[in-house]
Amino acid sequence: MAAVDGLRGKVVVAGVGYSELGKDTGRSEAALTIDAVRAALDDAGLTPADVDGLSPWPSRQGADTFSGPPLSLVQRSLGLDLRYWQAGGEGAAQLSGVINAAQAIACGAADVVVTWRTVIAQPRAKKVAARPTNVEVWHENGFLAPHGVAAMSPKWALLAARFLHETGQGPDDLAAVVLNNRANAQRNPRAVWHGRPLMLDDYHASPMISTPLRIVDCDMPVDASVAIVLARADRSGDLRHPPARIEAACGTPGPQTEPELASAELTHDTSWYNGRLLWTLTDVGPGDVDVAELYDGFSFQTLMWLEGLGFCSQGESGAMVRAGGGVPLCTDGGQLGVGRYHGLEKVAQAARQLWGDAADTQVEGAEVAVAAVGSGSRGGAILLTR
Amino acid sequence: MTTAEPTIAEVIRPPDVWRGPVPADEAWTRPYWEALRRHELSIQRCAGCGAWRHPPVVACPSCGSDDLSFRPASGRGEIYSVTVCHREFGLRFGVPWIAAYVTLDEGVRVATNLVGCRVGDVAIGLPVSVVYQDYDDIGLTLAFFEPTEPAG
Repeated sequence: MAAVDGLRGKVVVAGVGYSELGKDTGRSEAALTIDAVRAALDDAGLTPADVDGLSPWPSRQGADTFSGPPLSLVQRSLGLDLRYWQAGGEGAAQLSGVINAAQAIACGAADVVVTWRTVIAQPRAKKVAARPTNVEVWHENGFLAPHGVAAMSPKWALLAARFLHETGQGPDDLAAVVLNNRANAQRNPRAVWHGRPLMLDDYHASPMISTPLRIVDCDMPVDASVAIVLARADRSGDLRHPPARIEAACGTPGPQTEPELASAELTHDTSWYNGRLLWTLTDVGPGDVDVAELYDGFSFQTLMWLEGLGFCSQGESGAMVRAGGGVPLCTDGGQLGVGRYHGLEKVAQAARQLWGDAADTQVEGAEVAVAAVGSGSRGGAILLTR
Repeated sequence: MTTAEPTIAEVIRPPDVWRGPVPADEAWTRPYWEALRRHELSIQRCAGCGAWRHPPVVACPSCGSDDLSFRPASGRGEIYSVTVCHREFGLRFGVPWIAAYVTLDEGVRVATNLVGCRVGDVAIGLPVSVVYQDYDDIGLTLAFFEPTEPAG
């Protein structure tokens, strides 16, 4: 019995757009974002005058190099007249911009909302800020950061190690994801690893960063922006694409918003809770899914989402990917193949698949696509249908 | 299975000087850090229902009691997860270093670094005990853990 979902089918992905992508484009986050937003509006068949909402993630706080441009700079540069705006911090992380926008549209707070994620590569960030000594850390982070567990690689490596331990999987299972995504990236000219496939021997020769994660288990930092236009489903007649409807969306943190120490089971993370919640919001099931765009900031996270969403049994994900023949996975090459878009591009690629607009990465006849993003308590899942 | 590189033979020691992140002084965590200065690993416990809690809370989610205090913990536990890090990641540790979650005998999980062992000696499930490292110049003591059976 499906639960009531007030969002169901009321919102469509109307257009997606990408900026150029590179390891050092020399361009500002705002300029990349404007390129992506304009491309997404063109793709939708809309103009800035149609936009009445902005909902990016995350919100820009000061001089950080993580959050993309300030919302205000995008709004002013495009001259947008807004009824609705928000920029997320806490919540369903990379998908919170989409989920908040969809919920706003579904309840009538806006008709056309633009969301984006803009990233810049770390090497440029290091030029502008020398790292301080004895930096003060606050809240729960005070129990994590002094032991290095706030840094992304050690933090996620601890989850990866526990996940592999509990599921009886190992390096070859991680490698399966990396090889799949690198192979898919060869069909995507935008990918940072386009023209550079990876073989299993290359994987095992790759430097260890934080056991069990090798450098190729981690996505490559890039400069890039992706934007998505969401619109009311009942205006789909004047949109360029056929409807890619949001059938269901969820972003529960599970019972603990601080999972690293407080969760009884570290591996019961966003993939576990949203992997189960998603299917209660719809009559569609994992067996109906034609395309799965699953988070791969680190390789093991894709395995966790495959198992969490029920595409296979616990402990079977690596073998399934290695054997091929499972659900088409990270069809654009994922972050491990394309670069560190950080998750929103999963929704964009899912929509392109349903439009039949995915060029050389197209899965023929795709009608149902899932985009699932995040790790730990922060993340979510979105199901799109034609 | 998920640990690595027994070829690195040196025994890992805590940094002599601490340049890594330091906890801000906050009322709800202060007793934990003050206890570490006395070389006590002290964990919050609810007077209402006896539940141990880490990180601390300001009300007990189990019984609703506000009567929470920090009590000495055993300082013993076992490795819940562990990673050998070959990059510094801004921590100002020498490499390699080891990050771990340890489940204390009281049932709560703490983040820590493993010392007094070689990188090939650690694995999930290994019994460990607390060791204290003082950084008097900045008024900080950190709780590291080492294998309960010393490195051979």
